[in-house]
Amino acid sequence: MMLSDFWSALLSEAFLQNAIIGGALASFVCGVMGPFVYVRQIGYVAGAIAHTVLGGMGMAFYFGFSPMLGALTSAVAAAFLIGWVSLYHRDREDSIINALWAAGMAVGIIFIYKTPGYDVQLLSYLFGNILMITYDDLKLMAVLGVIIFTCIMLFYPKLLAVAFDEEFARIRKINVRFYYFMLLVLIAITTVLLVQIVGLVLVITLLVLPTATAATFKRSMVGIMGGAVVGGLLLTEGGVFLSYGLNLPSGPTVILLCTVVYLLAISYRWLKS
Amino acid sequence: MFVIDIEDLYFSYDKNNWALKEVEFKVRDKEFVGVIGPNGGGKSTLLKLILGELFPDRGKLLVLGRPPLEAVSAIGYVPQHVNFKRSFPISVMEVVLMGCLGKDTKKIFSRYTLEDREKVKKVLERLEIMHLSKRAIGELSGGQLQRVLIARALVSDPKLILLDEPTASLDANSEAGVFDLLSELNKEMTIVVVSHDVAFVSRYIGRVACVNQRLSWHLVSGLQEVDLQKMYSHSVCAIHHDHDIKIKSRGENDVE
Repeated sequence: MMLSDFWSALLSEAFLQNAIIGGALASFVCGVMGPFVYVRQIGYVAGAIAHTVLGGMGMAFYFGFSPMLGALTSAVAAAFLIGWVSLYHRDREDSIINALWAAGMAVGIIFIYKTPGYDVQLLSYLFGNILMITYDDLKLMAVLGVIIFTCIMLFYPKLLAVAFDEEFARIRKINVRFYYFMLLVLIAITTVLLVQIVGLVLVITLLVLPTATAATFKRSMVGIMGGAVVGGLLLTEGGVFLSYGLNLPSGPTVILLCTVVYLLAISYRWLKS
Repeated sequence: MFVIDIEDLYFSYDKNNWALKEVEFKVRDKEFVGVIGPNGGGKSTLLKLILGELFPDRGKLLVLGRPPLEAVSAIGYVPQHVNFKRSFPISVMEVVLMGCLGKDTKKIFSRYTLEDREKVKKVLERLEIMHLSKRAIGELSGGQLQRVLIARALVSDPKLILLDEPTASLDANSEAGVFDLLSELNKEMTIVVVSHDVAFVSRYIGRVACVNQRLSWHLVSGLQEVDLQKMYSHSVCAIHHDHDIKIKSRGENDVE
């Protein structure tokens, strides 16, 4: 398929336009949040939160309320639980995170299984389908994206100080715990935002890989953010193009594209040094 | 008034063993004081008490005439390198700007002001590291990084600077550079340096406090091997040089 065919399809098909806008929103949010996940090395926390999202969505289907609301509630609850465990019961953090990871998914699958007619959608929530994003999804994503961006903008110096040197931040009377919880809640919102795009199994990848790729070239937080936003944009839109053109599932296509580019980046770095 | 005024202070982590007892630690304005002692002897605990991270079980503890928590904005703290990762993607400018945080605790949002940036530039120029301001901290040498951390402590115009093992990872040359800088700063402010090793002290430091549960003062010139052995409770070797004394406890690692 030629790029021009894709272009004419893009102009006429609303679902493709939604996919492109959705991909852009997701790249932007991931590029802003990813560097914080990267420097604090809490990709596994994002993974656990993402998997509890399925539990929330499953219950929402079963009881008949908005799946987005279910996802948001369960993700934020998981963020608080993980934050509390990692602050006050550090020795059990690993176990709790694994338990949430597995249980969240199990709850989700049981409720979806018990809800007639939803078993087909299960796969799309696990692996995502960017080509099925609706206009309403986009509106919600935009609102969540604005919330995340505003929080990061307003609290950037303190979030950075806490991530860089917790002791110094604490001595300067910055409420270290508050900002840790804030970061986890923002991650929770991000994972909800991303479930639609790549599916929750693959959320971690989009949150981590564009950032990790940018971090091999950039040595500042803002530089990494910029690189991750632009890189993520190219990768998700490239993934949409490939999955549309080659009739491949979109989530895995985006992820594989991210992985290949990341591997190329670290190989280049490795060869250069 | 003493800059640090500690009297009959007791502190324990677990209520059974005193980590510090009967501590008297009085530091006058513009003094340059060393705190030494074996690992686990209570140096870090004393530092945390002065910074308001821990609270004494008993005794008097005032910093600049106030309880530590009210004095923190007037204390410049220079932590050990091990507190953060050298690979952290952050520039010298951003690290030093952190020193501006916490001035105004009522301010919820924390954007740095133009004034903050000007202040940082002045401090960077004074410490002769302005040319590094855009560098990532991972690209700096040990001595340069130490200057950056001192700059971060200085931007809040402290009356007192506390340094925790400032020369632990430095070569002799950068170590001398750091201490020249400190003796320069000492004209304006009080300086307390914590170390497990007094290699550096004698040229600049007037008094040394030896902490091992209790605290005892020594004049640097009079610091004898006997005193050190008593404090470290096992044999130490003190190497006398022309202008400094080097102490290493046997079987003890240099890195805390």
